[in-house]
Amino acid sequence: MTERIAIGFCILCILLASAFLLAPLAVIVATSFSPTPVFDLPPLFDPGGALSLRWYGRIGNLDGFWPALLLTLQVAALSTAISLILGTMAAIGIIRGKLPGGEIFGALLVSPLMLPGLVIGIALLQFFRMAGLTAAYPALLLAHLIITLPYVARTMLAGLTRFDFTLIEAARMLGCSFPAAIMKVMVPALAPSFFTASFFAFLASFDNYPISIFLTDARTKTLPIKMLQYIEEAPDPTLAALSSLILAATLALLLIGDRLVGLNRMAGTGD
Amino acid sequence: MQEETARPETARLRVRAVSKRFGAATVLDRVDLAVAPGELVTLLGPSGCGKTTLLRAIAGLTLPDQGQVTIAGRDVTRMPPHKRNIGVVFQNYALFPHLNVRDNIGFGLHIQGMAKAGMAETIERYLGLVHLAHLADRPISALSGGQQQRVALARALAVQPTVVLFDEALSALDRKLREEMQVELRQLLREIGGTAIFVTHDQDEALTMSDRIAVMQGGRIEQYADPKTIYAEPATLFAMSFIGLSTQLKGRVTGQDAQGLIEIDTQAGPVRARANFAIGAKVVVAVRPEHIGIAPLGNANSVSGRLRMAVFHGAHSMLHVDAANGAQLLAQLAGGSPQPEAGAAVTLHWPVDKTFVYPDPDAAS
Repeated sequence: MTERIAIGFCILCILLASAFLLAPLAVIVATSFSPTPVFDLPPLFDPGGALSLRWYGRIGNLDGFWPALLLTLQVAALSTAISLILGTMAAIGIIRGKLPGGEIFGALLVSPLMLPGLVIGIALLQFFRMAGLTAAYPALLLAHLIITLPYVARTMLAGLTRFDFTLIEAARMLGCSFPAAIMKVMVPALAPSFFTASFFAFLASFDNYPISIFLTDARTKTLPIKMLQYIEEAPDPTLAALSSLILAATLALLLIGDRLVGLNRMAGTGD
Repeated sequence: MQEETARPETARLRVRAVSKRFGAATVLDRVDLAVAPGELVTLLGPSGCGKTTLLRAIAGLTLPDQGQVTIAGRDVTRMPPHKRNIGVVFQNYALFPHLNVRDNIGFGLHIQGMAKAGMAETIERYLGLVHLAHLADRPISALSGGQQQRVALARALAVQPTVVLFDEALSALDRKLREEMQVELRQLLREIGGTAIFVTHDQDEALTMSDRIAVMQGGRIEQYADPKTIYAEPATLFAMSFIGLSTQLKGRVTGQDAQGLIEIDTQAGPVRARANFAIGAKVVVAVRPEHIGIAPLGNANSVSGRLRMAVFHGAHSMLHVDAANGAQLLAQLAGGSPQPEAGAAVTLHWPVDKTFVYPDPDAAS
């Protein structure tokens, strides 16, 4: 009996926590359909009120929106791609290289996840200045490599630990040259890990604020920085609409991920 | 085919003086091996004896430091593995997790660039051969260990390799399944006329499956012969000890009689044997338990002792007998025959011809 009460209490906690996590998202989505120009819940229960899509139409008119979106997508895609290559090679080196202290290297690769972004941002700003790197774009890209690499390294280390390197030998015995064996067996067998790594790395780069803020200049601003600027200038529901779109895109990616990989594996809560 | 039998060199696979060192350890020490077409050969030995390294050298996954490997008369010593046309069934099967059963079996054919129609037909044939036609579209993760083993076998055979190598391929299966697979695998390889090399540490597997067994220890092949010879006439003490049971008595050669038999003074008493050893040589005398009995024999060796215990095995019983100076003997009696009680004094007899003598490995060298 006591146990059932305890389990019931735990379930209640889960429900409350989920509601707490999801409620703000629900509010932002609801607000995006509001007909009034203030951050307000739309008159859902008012039969006379009308939902409106006007704020979605205005996203594109935000000052400097398209360059910011393009820059953000570009930096996220590029840094993810480069991290995917570097992180995978690093993970292979750590797992197969039998390096003394390989685990320490693994921990170092993942360490930016545990450091405050502000500290990394300030440190990079100082460092790039000293190194004479003043252009915003390459600085931003390098910084985002630091943001994305830990996600890739962590996922690939886990994926490669489960990967059986005998598969490569098996492929070679079946007629594959070494490079062909890598491409035909190792890459597809690790596809779920690549997907998971890319997903989290891309998202981390896409919505990074604390590091990017130190490295942008007047012309090179990423979307999260722009969004904060917009909300300071004109807090109308256009931002809610934009946020809802980003949320929808993320959900779409999650659904694809679930189909391809399984959510458990992506979240790291299952094997 | 006719041409092949007509040639003096008929080995499908030949290993000549192959050596391999890892750091200070010599893993293979000038190993020679020849395998005839259609022959099933087992490399048998304890872990660390070099059998897996020899297999990998044949496959091309390990480069030997010295020596030569030829397949069907062609020198392949420096050839990369994918050009050797050798099939390997790995211990953990190494099936491709991202492909289903059919595509695993078809992988090698696909790499060879076989046309779609021919490929589908070949895959069906090998699926049938390993009795997996009904599971063709399953993912690998949905198969049992035995089924995965069959897929690995079909995948290795489908490309029609010159030689198939099995690296402890059955050891992950449970005992019953393993014994079934041993028989099935042997039949299958006979059917397709396959040449195969098995690596195993399991003596039963070696005795069941092989035309010839290479007993390996310390990077060398100690004896290479058919299973009956290996069992009945072990060339070395190691071969005698590793395969089957034996009684072993330490002793010293004391003389030679008129019939050419040598006399050995063992810890359990004097024994005669047909062998060539100098007088004074330190030796080990070894006898199989099935040659030792409690019935008196002509021209036999005899040792007296006390029965410590008799273990009943169904078809036979094993007598454990303590003799003088801590010597222990094993005698095998037919299941129904009358048995002495534990603690009783017994005298064991065995034929002089079944008495094997080897140099004592512990003797000062």
